[in-house]
Amino acid sequence: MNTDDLLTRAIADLGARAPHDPDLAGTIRRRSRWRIMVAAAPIAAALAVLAVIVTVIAARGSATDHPATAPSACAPVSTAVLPTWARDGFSDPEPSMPYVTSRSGHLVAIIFGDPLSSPEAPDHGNKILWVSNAAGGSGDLVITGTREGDGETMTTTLPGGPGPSLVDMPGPGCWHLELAWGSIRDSIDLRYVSP
Amino acid sequence: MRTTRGGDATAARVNATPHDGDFTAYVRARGRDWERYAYALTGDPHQAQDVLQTVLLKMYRRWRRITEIEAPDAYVRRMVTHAYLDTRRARSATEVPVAVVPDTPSPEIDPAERVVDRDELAQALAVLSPHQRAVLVLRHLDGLDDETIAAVLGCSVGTVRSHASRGRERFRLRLSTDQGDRG
Repeated sequence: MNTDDLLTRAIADLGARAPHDPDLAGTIRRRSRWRIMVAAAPIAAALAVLAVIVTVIAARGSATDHPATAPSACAPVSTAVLPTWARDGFSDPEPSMPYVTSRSGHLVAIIFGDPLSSPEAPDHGNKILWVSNAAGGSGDLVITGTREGDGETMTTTLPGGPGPSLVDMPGPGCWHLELAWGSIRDSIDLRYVSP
Repeated sequence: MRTTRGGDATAARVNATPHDGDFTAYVRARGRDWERYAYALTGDPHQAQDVLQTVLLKMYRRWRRITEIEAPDAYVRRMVTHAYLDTRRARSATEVPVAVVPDTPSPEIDPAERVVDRDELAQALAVLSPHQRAVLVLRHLDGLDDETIAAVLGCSVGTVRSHASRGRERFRLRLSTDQGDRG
């Protein structure tokens, strides 16, 4: 066998021992997908960071441009045992009633017609018992109301000062009531709902 | 003995479309031949696999562009060959002077002897310079003529013949040495 034949044989023998991948095309496709994923990973991460930044900025901008609605001054009316000075006339020594305390803390509006409604609910009136322990009150209790949100106003007078009353409002909403009774100036917030 | 594949532009040639199916059909038709070629060049299973897969990966991702301007076989052959030469550029083959030309092996050689022969042949290939080896593999495995080999390597036909001649001689001398050691 001459050198050329030996060369052919040597090269053919070596080639025949080449490792074989029966799914070479599949291997290439998988490597391609992997490379794309690896190449795309930093971009995806950068985009994710960018998205977070944009979201945060947008949220801040949104907060600046459109401030959230302020919480209503009218907290839900809770039922609780009345203050000692507001229990006169109740047979229960520790009467539990829905009531609202004024800003000064010296007047409560005990809600008999809970919930207060505007217009008046068909099954109950807007009956409120006003009780005060403040000194200096005298004469009529003048109530000037302003509705939260649109500023609509109302005025009513309770002859003789605090006591049982029926107080109707022009419409539902949270009403801020300025109370004037003799030298006393106080305020209270009452919620009226649609019946 | 000369092995010819002759498939450059015939059965293995597929339409130059970007579809995945074209690439898959091509690799199914020619993949094993390229595995042999890469291994014959490198003599190392890992390097052969790495070189071939790297080339096929590029081809897969640029199938349309590549096949529009070049036959797939020509592209793979050229790219695999140059990838091999690039990885071996730093190495240099060593001349092995010997005085004895090997005898022709007996046709009735036993299996153990055949294994020894095969290892000796592989070792003899290992002493070739990268360019010599590339030329001889292209000539003896692919059956290419010198003009085609020159085009693959980007050199002159004269350079191809020079590499072939020197490589052939180096291979022969290495076998002579082995034969002398065994004898």
